[in-house]
Order: sequence, then C-alpha cells, then structure tokens
Amino acid sequence: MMKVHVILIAASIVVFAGCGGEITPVDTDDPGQAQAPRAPSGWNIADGPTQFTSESLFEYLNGGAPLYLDFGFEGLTQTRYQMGDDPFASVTLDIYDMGSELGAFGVYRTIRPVEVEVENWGVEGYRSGTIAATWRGAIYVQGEADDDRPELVEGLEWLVASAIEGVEGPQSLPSEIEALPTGGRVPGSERYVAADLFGHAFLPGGVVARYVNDEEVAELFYTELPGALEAEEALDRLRTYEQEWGAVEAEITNLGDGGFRFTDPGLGAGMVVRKDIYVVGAHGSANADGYVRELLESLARK
Amino acid sequence: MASTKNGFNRRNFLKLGAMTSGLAIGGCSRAESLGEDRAPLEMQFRDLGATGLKVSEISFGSYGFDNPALLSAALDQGITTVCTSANYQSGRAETSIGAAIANLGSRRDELVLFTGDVFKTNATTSDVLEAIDGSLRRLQTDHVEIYRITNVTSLDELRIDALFEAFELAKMAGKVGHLGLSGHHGGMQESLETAIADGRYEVLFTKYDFASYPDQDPILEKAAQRGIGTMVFKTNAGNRKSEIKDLEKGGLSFRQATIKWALSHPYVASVCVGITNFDEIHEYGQAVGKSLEDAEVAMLRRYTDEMHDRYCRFCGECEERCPHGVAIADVNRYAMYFKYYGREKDSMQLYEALGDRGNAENCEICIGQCDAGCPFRRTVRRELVEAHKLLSFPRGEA
Repeated sequence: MMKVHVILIAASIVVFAGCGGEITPVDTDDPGQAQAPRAPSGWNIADGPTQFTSESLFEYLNGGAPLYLDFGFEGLTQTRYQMGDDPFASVTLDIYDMGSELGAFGVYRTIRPVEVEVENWGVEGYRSGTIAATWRGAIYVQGEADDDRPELVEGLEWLVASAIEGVEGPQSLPSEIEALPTGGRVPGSERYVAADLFGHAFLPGGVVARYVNDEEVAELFYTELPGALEAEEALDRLRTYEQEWGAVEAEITNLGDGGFRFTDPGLGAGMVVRKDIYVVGAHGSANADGYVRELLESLARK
Repeated sequence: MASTKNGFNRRNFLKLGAMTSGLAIGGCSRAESLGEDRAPLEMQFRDLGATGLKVSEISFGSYGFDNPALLSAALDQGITTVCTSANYQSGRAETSIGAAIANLGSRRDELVLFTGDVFKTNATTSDVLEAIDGSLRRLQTDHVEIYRITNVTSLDELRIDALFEAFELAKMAGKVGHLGLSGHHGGMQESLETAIADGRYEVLFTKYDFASYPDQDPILEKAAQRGIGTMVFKTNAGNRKSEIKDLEKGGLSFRQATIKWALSHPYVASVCVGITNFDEIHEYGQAVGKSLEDAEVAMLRRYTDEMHDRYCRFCGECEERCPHGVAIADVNRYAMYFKYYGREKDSMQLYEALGDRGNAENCEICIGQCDAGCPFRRTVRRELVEAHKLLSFPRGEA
C-alpha cells in the first residue's frame, strides 16, 4: 500500500511540474511530522509558517475552535503560498496536529463536504472546488485556493499531497471505526463525534455510521463511558430524556442490559442498550437489532 | 404556546432542565454545577438597529450538530436568532441547520437567520449570487434575514462592488434582507469604522469582551446612532478561565457573567454563543434579563487582572508607534517558535529574513513607545529585547 502511495504522490508532482516548472522537494527531515512544503518553483511563501496553539486558535477560527479542541487539537501550522506576484493567486495550507488518529479522522469526516472528488492522498483525501484535505496518523491537512483557476487548483492539490506525504501512520481507519459491522455499512458514512453525541452532554462523543437494509436506513452508534456505572447512568438519563421529550416504546430484554426502544423528537424511531462501558444503539429504523447485536459482539472482543 | 409536530414546547424544555439537574454522571455537568434554580426563563428581545428585526439576546451559534431537536429546543427557549456561515465546516453547519429547519414547518418564520460567506476582493457578482443560493439551498429556506461578508481582514474587503451589486439583486429577489459584516482580526476597529462610514452595512457582527478593545465602545455607539445593529461574539476574552484557580468558586458561571456583561451595553442587540448540547441552552439562557451581581463583577475583574497582559490581541497598536518600523508581531512570534517549539534555527532564519523590519537591535536603547501603545499594558520593548538576543545570529555567521 505504501508503495502505491509513493507512486501516486510522485505522479502528482510530475503532473504539477509539467504545468508549473521545476518542483522543489518537500522538507522531510522528520518523517513523523508534517511540515509545510517548500514553495514550488514560480511560487513563494507570502505568509507564515505561522503556528497556532490551543490558546491562539480562537484568534484564527473563533467559534470553530471548540470543535477542533474537542477532537484533541494540539497545534496548527499555517502557510500561505502565492503564485508569482499576484496577491489573488494563493493557496492557504493548514496543517493540524490533532493528537491522535481518531482526532484527525474525526475532523476530516466532520468537515468533508457532501460532494467531493476523492483523491489518493493520506488515508483519505478529497478536493471539493477550491478546498482540499487529507489525513494520516494524527495529522489533518486542509488547503484552500483563492479561486478555481486550473493552475491554482493544481498548486492546491500538490501542496496538500506533499504535506501529508512525509507523515507516518497506518493506511486504515482508526480501530474505533473498524469495530463497526461491515455488512450493509454505507462507505464513507462513518464519523467520530468528539463530544455531546446527539446534543447530549451526558454522552461523551461516540462513533456513528449509516446502514442500509431493504431500503431502510439506520444510523448505528456507540459511545464509550469511563466505567460501567457511568454507562448505566448515561442510559438512565437518555431514558428520562425520551420519556419527557419523546416516548419509550418498549423494553429490550434480549440484547445487552437495560435497553429500550424509543421515539426521539429529533432522531425518530430507535433503540439503545448498554453493555459494560458501552452505550450502543441505532436510530432511523425500528429494525436494527441485527446491527446492534453485531456491534456488541465486536466491542466485546476489543 | 406554539408546539412542533414532535410535541416540543418551552414548558417541556424547562421541565427537562429541572430533570437533568437532578442527575449526574461522575460528578456535575456544567449546567448542574451552577447551583441555579430551574425557574421558568423568558427570553428577551432587542431591536437590531434600524433593520426592523427583533433578535433574541442569545443567538444560536452553530458549527453543526447531529440532532435536529437541538435547534427546536433552542427555539422553545426563545433563542430565535441563528448565526452560521457557508465556510463553517465547508457548508455542513448550514446543512445541519437546514435539516432542523425542515422539521420546524411554519415555525421557520420565528427565526432570524444570519449567514454569509468569505469573499475575496476579486469576487464577482456571480460568485456572490452563487454563494447566496448555495446557503439557501443548504439551509432549506428561500430567504435569510441577514447576509454578511464573513471574516473580514482588510478594508478592501468592505468595498467589493460585486458584493453590493449581488446583494441588491438578491434582495430584490427576496432572498436576503439586510447586509452585514463580521470579523475578529486585530484591526477590527478600523473595519467597523469604515463600514459605519460606508453606510451600506446594516449589521455589525464583531468580537467584544470585557478585557479588551477599550476603544470599541464609542464605535458601537456611533453605529447605534446611525441605525446599524450590533451582534457580538467571543465575549469570554480569550477563553482561558481554566488557567485561573477557583475562578467560578461559589457556583458562579464565567460564561453567564460574560454574556451579562455584553448585554449590559444597550447597543449590543445579541450575544452569539456556540451551542452543542441541551444543557448549554439552559445555561446561557440563565444570563438573560439579569444584571451582573457583585460577585460576578469581581470574577470578571479578577480575570482581567490575571489575564490582561498574558496574550497579544494582534491589534497592531504597538507597531504603529515604533519609530524603526519593527515587525513586532512577527518578531514575537518567531521568539515563541524559538522558546516553545524547539525551532531555534528555523526561527533565527525567519528573523533574519525580515530584514530591516526585523531589526530589534535598537530596542534596548529605545524609549519604548511601543509599551505606551499597547492598550493591554504588555511590556513590548522588553519582549523585543529578549527576542533579539534569542534570534540574532552572531555577527558574521548569518
């Protein structure tokens, strides 16, 4: 897989070189870390590299900062590359250290637009108009071009690909995602929510993914609590919430512990159970027992 | 009392608040730790300048959420004003709000929707119109009450002809109501002044807090006098409350106090807060219609005293006063790289590359007009002297 990856990066460099001239190689002194690539020939670094910390991130992202902090943000290096002397021909490259694979994956999937062109960068990559992004290891890279001129988009793609090239890490989704059942799972629908799953402060984030079965779509989810007692209390709070706002339709006695079926005012029909430190459920369909059972078995093997 | 088709209403929400306060997981949640009663709350509303809009004192700031009931619950609480932008999560924030709006039915009309996008100075009328249509499509609505240019960083961005042309076209088509701007960079005061003088902007959306920007009040007062409405965000002055021990001792809420402080100014129509869970709706709602108590004032003063000179707001006041044109912010940033990021060689090269703008050699013998220029009493000159010592190559080795 790594060999394929290297070939693809090399190909992108060759393509870009064909349009923009000689390419300066990426500084890869430290292969474990993402570094801002040097400016390709004909380009220059107009601003940066500028570092942002968890304290200063608010100055850059303002209201968006808590989202990144929830995912484990540890640092951001921002660089603006300008093509020639045209101030309106630039690419801004943000390299985030998210502290973990799950954090990098989580931000990537949370921010990825619905319609994208998939690219062979990092573990996953895409371009959507003037925005491109990728992740591997704990590093999430996002670039944005000033507009969609072909030469700018080529520069954008090259910079994003180059920034992730030297980052080490597995070419697979985080293990927390791999715990999900595979049959019926909608590719690309997996997400990691870092906090407040479904708007509940008592559910400390979790993993969700969509499943299709006989044209019925369900969203499967699980969240891991610090201990079994906390998981039991979280389930109790969810039960109380549904009793007040939606409806508890029936008890579940053949799966996990303390489970029930519900109708939620925002999520629709669903089910939820507890097993050890996990709260596991599905919504959008009343017939997701098979998925929940499979997920419980998978989590038991973790 | 209006209810959604799902049976939501304000009374239910308040019951939830009372219910959740009695339950805890491994301690107290944020809302539960406040020690507050859960008496019914009533949202307050204010005129947004001369727009004719009435906005809730708390605005729902969103970078996206995965349960449409969250927006319904906020609306039940009286939070009718919703702030987002097309550039938040590449449009996904608008998409999640749109999914919630689709569930609201006729209650959509209770909302004041405030969105926008980032536009470069070379944006075309077509670019802006496409951006507006994209926002409406994602929000699942045919109009927004306020549309803004987001993340303004230069005065040129306030004078984009295409923005004004496109806005008028969209307004004639009933897609947008009022034009606004937002930004949170260091020199925002100048941008606000320019927008006020321009006369075409009807809404300002700006950072505002109790510890910074003492020159912002007269600007916002001037805006109010001219019928321009002001909504604010980032009221928590750097969000570093966790660095001060026992700041919220005695059941105080720093966030509530900062909201109360902002709302104590008559020219502030609404405070935008990021809301990600049901508890926060209630916590922030508690700040409405109440004056700051003495203990809260003392808490904010303590925060100001302890944090005032600990962080740079990038306002640029010091650079304007430097007789040698030193790029103070850049020099300090490179010193930070040197000291905290282990990038000694890199930071020294960056300093060298600044050329004359990086010549802090004379700072040691300078009278330090930069110190007088810092509205936050940072010891700028001393920091520059230290930075120069760190970053300078010994003569002949550069």
